[in-house]
Amino acid sequence: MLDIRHIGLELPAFEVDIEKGALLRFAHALGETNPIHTDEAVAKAAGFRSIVAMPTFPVVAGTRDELTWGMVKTLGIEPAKILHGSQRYVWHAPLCAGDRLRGIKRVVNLFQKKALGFIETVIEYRDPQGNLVCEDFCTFVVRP
Amino acid sequence: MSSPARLDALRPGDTYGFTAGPVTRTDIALYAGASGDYNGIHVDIDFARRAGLPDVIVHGMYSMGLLSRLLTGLAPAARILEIQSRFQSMVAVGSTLRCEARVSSRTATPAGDVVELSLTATLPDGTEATAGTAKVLCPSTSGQPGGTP
Repeated sequence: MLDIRHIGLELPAFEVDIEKGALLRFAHALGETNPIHTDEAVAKAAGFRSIVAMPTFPVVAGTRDELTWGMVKTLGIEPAKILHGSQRYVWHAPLCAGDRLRGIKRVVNLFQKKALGFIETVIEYRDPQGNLVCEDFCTFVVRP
Repeated sequence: MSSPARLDALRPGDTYGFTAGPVTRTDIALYAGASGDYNGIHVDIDFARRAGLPDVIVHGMYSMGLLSRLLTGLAPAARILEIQSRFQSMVAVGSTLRCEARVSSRTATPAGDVVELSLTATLPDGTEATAGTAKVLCPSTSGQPGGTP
């Protein structure tokens, strides 16, 4: 059973440098063809600072052992029982190579539906001025 | 995608899409490296078998990434406001995925038209592996590039 006292748990803040190579590898792995995601000259000509992150790129920033396993350990869950149920990204501004973000992950809800446990988290990513750039909403399902 | 869907022409009920795959082990390895997700059920067949699976499975986030190309492939470029996916069924190595968008609504706002879409990645047997929704902004012609505020 998930312990609802952990609702509101906040993991330590982390900094992420958005590297051009990382954006390119991600776009290549997904077969992206829009050059604003792969060609700096095209991205700049379109008015962006540099090549633009794809819509699901923040998964790279949020896939960090201390976040995932740190949370799982605090919640007392066996990692092999976890499934990725759903994922949502809400974008407030484009993200480009060379940008720097600060992320904070929180547990927003924990609940049980029959035998399954549900862990809902959010990661807020802000630019150095404190403006919200992207929110990562994730639901993990915990099998019995 | 053969030719990009025209964002300015999309109306409720319109559909467009592309077929991706078959997803190879190399595709999985590339995505694991690019995303940083080296969970053994995606990259290590021995681990996958110990977890009770017949083989490694494709990352759910890979199929969500493919669905995101239904947004990044729009012309002229949309500003992507939101994308959401539910991972409903495991995707086996060698699967082909039909990635399709259907326009559910188009709403005028001061910043431009917001187009809402439903997204599906479907296996050849008709199983919806991943389904979700997205919102994109069709920037007003006078707007900043990419609709940046």
